Amino acid sequence: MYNYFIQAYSTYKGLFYWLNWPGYISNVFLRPMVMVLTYALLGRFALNPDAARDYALGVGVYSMMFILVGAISQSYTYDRFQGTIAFLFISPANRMVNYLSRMLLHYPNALIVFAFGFGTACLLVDIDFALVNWWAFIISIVITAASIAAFGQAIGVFAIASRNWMNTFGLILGAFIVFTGVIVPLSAFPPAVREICKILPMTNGLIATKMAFAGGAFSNIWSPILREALTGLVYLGLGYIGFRVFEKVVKRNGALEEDLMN
Amino acid sequence: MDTVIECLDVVRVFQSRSKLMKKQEVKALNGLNLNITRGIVFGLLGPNGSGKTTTIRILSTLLTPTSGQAKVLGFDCVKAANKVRGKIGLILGGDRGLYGRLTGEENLKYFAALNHLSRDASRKRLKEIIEMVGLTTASDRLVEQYSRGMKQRLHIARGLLTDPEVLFMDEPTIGLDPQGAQELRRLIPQLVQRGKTILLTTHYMSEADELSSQVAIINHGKIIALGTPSEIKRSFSRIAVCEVICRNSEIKAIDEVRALQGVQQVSVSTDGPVQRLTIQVLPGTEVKAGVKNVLGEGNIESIIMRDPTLEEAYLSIIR
Repeated sequence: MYNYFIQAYSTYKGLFYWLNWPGYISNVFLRPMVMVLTYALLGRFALNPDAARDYALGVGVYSMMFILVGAISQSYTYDRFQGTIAFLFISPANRMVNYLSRMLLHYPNALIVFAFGFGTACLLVDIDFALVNWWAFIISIVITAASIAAFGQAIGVFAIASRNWMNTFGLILGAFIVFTGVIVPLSAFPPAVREICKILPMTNGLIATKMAFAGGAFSNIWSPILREALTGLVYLGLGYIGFRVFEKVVKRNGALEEDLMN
Repeated sequence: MDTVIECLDVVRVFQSRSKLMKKQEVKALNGLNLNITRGIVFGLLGPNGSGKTTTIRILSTLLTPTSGQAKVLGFDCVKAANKVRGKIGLILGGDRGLYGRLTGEENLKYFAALNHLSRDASRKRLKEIIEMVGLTTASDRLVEQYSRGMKQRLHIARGLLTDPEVLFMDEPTIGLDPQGAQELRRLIPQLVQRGKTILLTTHYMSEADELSSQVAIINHGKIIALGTPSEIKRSFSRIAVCEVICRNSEIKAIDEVRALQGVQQVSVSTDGPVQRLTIQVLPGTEVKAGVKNVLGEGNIESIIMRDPTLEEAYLSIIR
């Protein structure tokens, strides 16, 4: 357990390049506040008060995507750029422990991001909390954040293989704001596209979050929460498989040796 | 004899594509055969691109061979890679391979965690090793603030962290100041006395000569000379050396020395009126008489034949 936390701390502090005062404050506090507020106000004045709530919730959850996928994927990429991942691959370290440790300390940032983003919208835009099923709401946020973190792991492995986290991250951000129900309701898409949307992280979690906020009972909400949790587990598993495959491939084709010599 | 490191017909090919997408292959190792016994320093010398670093990468399980077999302590580096990893340490050089945003101590703590050191063992070992490499006052500073030499000391600390049986040192003194390099050269025999086996690559021939009990010269992915430093100098070298100290020799006379039969190269250093000529000749060449004739016996203070240095022998072998 001690070694797990050491690896979590080291990969967080050593590879998270937004971990400085300007970077952290702007990405964890300012950006989500501005984004959520912008969309909430847009919803309120362009459409109706219910849209303000839905946009605030949607963009609040989307902000978690930004901090988790951005932070985790850059961590993986910098581990390669710095030539440090080679020392993991020549060590007897438990690869699963190391893989799981990489997302641990980013997870709380996602919850802070949601709290500040959504909290700002609540203060400045008139959002009614009267019906909220608080336990269901908290559970759905916690599980959605975990699912997005798991997805971040899978994207991180893709980023380390492609040596570029920013392009991948940009694509993910663009796709997710459209296809996960953040702004555009899923009903706007054809059935085939809706099915694809449902296997993306955030989609089911956002459904559960909105239902919980509107006062939905656990009996209605557990299904999308469970789907979200399972979606996260699948991406976590895929990411781990990718991580192991990456190690085998770079040892076979010598790609890390080129990195070390350049 | 207890063989600790073994390479049997190891081949390693790197593939890439040119700008026109044409497949290109580089054979970094071309049937490498190597046996290293326990408790020695084995120097692996060769020009850039000869395969030294690739050899170390394969033995440290960072790279898989294209064909052939590499073993460390009896364990196959591919099939039993995890068993190899627990028993080796790798010391590289350069600015990369360390987390600049962590302190020196935090870096070592992370690598200790990767190697399954417990909290107490890690704490104790970190203190010892930081003191050993002379980073006690800097261990709580961020590595991005370290000088090149300090980073190299941290590389060394990481390699020694788990007290491994086998150490791979890839140019370990690069970037170290003379004092630091001397300290490392003093440390290496102490490690060997404790039963460690060290595979060392270096471009500093004097270092290889001083530290290694066995030396191999690798070129184009194959061992082309193998033996003790003395054997390399005597048996494998393609030159013998004649040292001449003379006075008042003209350039024309030195050119005539160059033209003597069997002379490969003449290098001249001057200190006032005194000149030292280092004349490389083919082994077995009798050159003294010719030199005396050309320079004039009265101008020559001393003329001796000596064994080439390891550097001279090495250069003659790889040329």
